[in-house]
Amino acid sequence: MKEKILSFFNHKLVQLSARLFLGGVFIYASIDKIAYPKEFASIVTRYQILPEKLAIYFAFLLPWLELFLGIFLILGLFVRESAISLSFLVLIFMIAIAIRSLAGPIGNCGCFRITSSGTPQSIAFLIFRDILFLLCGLILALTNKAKKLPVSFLSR
Amino acid sequence: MSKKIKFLALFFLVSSAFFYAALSASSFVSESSRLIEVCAKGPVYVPLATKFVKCYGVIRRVIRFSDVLTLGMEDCKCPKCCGGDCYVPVLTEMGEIRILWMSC
Repeated sequence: MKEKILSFFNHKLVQLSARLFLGGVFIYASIDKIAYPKEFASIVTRYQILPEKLAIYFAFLLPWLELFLGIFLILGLFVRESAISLSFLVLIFMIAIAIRSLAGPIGNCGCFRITSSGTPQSIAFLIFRDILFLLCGLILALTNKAKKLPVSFLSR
Repeated sequence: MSKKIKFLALFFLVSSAFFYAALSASSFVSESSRLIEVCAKGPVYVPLATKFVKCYGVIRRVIRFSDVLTLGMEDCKCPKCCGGDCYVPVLTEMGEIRILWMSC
């Protein structure tokens, strides 16, 4: 049974679909954030999880990380490392959404569209969506082997 | 092109993007310390061109200024939110009182 599941997830088509899906989602998510970094920073500071300065730096750096990891997944570069990083990010988003939801309904969660004024989204939907991304990331992380970096001093 | 050069080019590209992002972030950090606090006190002066304000110390994006408050929206005064927005009365140019809507 375990072997069947593993061979299903190792299938080229499943791997390609997972890579394109997760990579595409994160590239799409990064575009609005890169275009409107200040607006995204104001959303991140509203979560009130990180101190303001740290939240601003996080908000400005995160979209680029999402973009590059998404591109790496689509191009098939560092698949395992990118999948692990994206899964970790999704986990952080889930925790942030859960903490923020305790303070009341979330307006614009800052997940995809930044400039829309944000009709409140259901927490259950946001968490379910993140679980789907997490599963995708875990499948890619567990079924791909780590590759040696081409630059020896970095691969030590 | 060898793998090593491709990798270093990629590393340089990624580093440049992060460096640019960090620079932009540091300029917004200094900008954020000068934002006008609109919620803690009574109506304060806010220029109409303002894009960001602070409400109880939290950065908020200005959505719009309106002349009057629409009926039924009285309960949406910050920190209470309606559909992702809330309002505060502010003073604008010529000393007029206007309604500033911001994101929640």
